[in-house]
Amino acid sequence: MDTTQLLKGVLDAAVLAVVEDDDGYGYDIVRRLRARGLEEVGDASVYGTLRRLYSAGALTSYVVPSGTGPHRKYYGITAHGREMLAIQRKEWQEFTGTVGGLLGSRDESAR
Amino acid sequence: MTSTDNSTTHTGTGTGTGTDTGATEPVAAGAAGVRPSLGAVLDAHARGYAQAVRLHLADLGPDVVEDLTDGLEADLVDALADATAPLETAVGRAPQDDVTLDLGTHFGPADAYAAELRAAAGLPPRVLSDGRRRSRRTLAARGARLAERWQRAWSPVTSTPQWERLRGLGRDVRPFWWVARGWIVGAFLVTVLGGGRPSVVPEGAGELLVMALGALVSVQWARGRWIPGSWQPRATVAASVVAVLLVPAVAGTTYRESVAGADPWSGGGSYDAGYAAGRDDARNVAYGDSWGEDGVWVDGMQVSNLFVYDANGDPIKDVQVFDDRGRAVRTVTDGGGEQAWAVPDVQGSWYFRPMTADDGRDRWNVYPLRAVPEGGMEWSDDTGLWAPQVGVQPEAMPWPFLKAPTSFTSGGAASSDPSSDPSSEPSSKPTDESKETPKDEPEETAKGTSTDESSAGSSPERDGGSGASTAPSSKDVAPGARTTATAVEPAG
Repeated sequence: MDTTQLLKGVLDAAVLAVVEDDDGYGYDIVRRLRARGLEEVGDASVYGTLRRLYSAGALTSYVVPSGTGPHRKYYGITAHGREMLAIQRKEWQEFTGTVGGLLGSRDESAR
Repeated sequence: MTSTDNSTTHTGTGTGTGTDTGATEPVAAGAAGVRPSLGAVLDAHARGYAQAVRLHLADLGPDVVEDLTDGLEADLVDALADATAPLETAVGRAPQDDVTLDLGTHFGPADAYAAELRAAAGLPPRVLSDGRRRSRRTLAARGARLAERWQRAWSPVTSTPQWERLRGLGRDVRPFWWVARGWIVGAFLVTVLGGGRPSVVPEGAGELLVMALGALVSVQWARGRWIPGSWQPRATVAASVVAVLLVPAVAGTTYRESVAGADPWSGGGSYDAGYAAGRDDARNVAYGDSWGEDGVWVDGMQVSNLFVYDANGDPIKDVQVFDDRGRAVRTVTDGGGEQAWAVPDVQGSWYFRPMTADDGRDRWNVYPLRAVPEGGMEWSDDTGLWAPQVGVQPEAMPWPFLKAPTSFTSGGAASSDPSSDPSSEPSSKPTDESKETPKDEPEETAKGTSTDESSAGSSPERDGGSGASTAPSSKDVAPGARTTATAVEPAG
């Protein structure tokens, strides 16, 4: 199965989840996602998602100048973002429950 | 994909601070000598890659591109730092080469990266820009069709031999246009360099040189010289368009300065400025409310009343004054009758009243004007006008001199009458004396008559405090003026 297709559906929730507790800049968030196991996630996909979530008001952003290199754009979750995350979490859990039940039963039957 | 290596490295370095150390530590282990340049090389490559990505997003507009790729360089450097370390150690080559290779291999082609960014951000794919290009092509095709239709519509005219002859004429006179084009652009350059307004008439050798040079370049361009062949058509067309656009400005200035301005005014600009300044001055000096240029003005000050003396210097009452066009000369203009005036030598404010002619109409050009004191006026609801109260008669105003400081004793009586007759004027005046006007030598005669010490006899308002002495002395010197003088005294 092409996991990148699955990833697309949950990337919003995943990005919101990794900035839920701690603000982060673009690549920092990529790192967190990969560290949590989403190793196939593309950098650009994450940056694009960040921008879209920001446009939707789920994230705030602020620029932190760097003494040595280029400045970094940090993202933090908003109240609206937390609501979105809560809804998506619930939906995902319901969905995985349903699909898990559906696939799991078949899997078992196949074995 | 190097993600498995990545995860092991960067989980150790953690977030934020680990960029440089994450990159350099393994490098130091591999090739310590190249270490300092690595950061700079990385930065340069990241900048280049980010720029390429931005180019592929350019159709979204600068704001969106900025929004989408702000901080991209930093992210790329971070990602590279995580990625290159294991690669370099694995390959064991000079880091620059690896880094150069790595940007493309690690992130993929810039256009694919941009497409991913765009898709994840929920923005329309690049097809849009292709579509725009396509629409530009269709637009061009539509333009070509329109041009063709236009040409066909004019074909009845353009296919005639006369048109062909006209075209031939146009071709033959083109060199003149080349010169004119360069000359006009040169004139414009002169104003750009030296200020002022563009005129086709050069002022001085410098301007002439610039304009001649412009003409020369224009001709040479038209002949395909002094310009790369590929630029030639565009440059000449552009020069022509610029020249045509400049024609109105240049023609306007040339006309004002060299055609219309060829008179004592010497240049439109300075004349206009001087006129405006003079008018402002006049407005500033005006007493009370200024009514602009209406009325009679002397030395920048508005005149309220006129006093006329005959050749003997005796006052004349009820004189009708007209200008050379037969217009009534009015010191009090429309609406001015309801305006309170300060009158020299008399206290209070005064409302001037017109004479009433035999036909019943008001005549404002009969001097000296009489006036009603401020308290003698009342608002009439019937007429909606300010009018003297019943029983209040307008009073005569004090004369500036009981006898004019100038008189024309030798045949003065004779010369004053014909002077109103234009035909006799040239003969009478030169033969008389040089004293044509009282203004010329007021002091000389003023001593003789001893009426007034003021020298500037032309402007009554200027006399200031001398008036107090004028009124009493008037009875002694000029019996003819006594009636007016006595009439004033109660008011003052």
